[in-house]
Amino acid sequence: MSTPASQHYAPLEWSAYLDGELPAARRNAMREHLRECPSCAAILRSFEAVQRGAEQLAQEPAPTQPQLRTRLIAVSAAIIARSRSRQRWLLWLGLIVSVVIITGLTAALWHGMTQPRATTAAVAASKVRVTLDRVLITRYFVEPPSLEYDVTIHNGDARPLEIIRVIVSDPLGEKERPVASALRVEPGQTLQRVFSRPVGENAQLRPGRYRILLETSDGRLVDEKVVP
Amino acid sequence: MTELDVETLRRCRRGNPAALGMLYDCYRRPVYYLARRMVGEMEAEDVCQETFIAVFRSVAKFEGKSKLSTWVLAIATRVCLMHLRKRRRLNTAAEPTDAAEAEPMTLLSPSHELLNKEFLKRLADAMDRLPENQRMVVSLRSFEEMSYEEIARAMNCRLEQVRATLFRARCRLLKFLEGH
Repeated sequence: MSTPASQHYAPLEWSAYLDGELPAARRNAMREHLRECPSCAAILRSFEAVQRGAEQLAQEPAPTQPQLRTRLIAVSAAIIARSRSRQRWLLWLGLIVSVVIITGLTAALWHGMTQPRATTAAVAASKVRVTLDRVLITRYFVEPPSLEYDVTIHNGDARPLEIIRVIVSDPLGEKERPVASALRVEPGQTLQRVFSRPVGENAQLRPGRYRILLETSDGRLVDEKVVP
Repeated sequence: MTELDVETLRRCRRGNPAALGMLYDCYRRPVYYLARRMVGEMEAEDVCQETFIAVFRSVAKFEGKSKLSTWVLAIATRVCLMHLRKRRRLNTAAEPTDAAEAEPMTLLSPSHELLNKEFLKRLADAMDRLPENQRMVVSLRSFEEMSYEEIARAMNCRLEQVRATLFRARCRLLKFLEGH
């Protein structure tokens, strides 16, 4: 249905109509209205003349500048080539760094997974061992009673053995024991030591698993005893 | 306006001089026209060069979301606006404003509606007397493919602003043409 000729569309709408920037329904209604409204048709015609004139002006050829063109293109091509080469270089660098990181991480992960077994195996293979000879509770006159681990450490290797940490565990719990700063077993030496932990006045040796773990510079040494 | 084919565009991204030359030849005319309308004949060549340097440098980033012509003209628009801003800083003379005044509607008499040389000359003069943003919108709209949305994107403004500015510009042009 068209708008009566007496009800005109706003000139702003005719401007948008000319540019095809109105919804189809509105556009169709306005097209209908044009047939019966000479004043709206005159507005549209005026806008059309201006638009066509502007389009024609835009067709004017631009002055040519062959030397400028050649220089501009040559410089730009060189810049693009340099930028592409830098990008390619960065891409390769990134790729190499990624490969190194991934390889490093994989190696570290693998090492972490295999190390305990490997070092224990290495320690075993090198004939270094710890033997938990016995566990007992000793009562002294002055000091409180203590749970004692009698241990023999044998270094059958050609290198000296440094003991870094000693951890004892028993049915009462796990405890790290202090170690003398230079607990060192020379090659071929067999050392007997007592590692102890204080216990309560009335403590008794409970049945269960008693374990000693020595952390050495080469790995771990473990032995255990089961008290029935 | 013709568009470059995909293969040429690909070669442009790789910095092929022949392809860059094709891009330049394809869009020099509209870029130069826009520049001449906006900054005048004296500076038009500078704007043209700056535009193409920017186009060549960033052609690798062109994603194809719009037509290449629209993208190039958007860059040209920004370069023109930059030049105008620079000029405004140097020159204190006030630019005609684009106040939202209610332009009385002037219509062309039938004798004016012939697109003869005289009419075009007067239209070009009238366009030079428009405020910057109106001149920009009319110039961009002269390239038939530029929709309101594309003009809005190029000028970094709202679509409604384009619609209103273009209307005001046309009214003012009609007034200048009739009053000549």
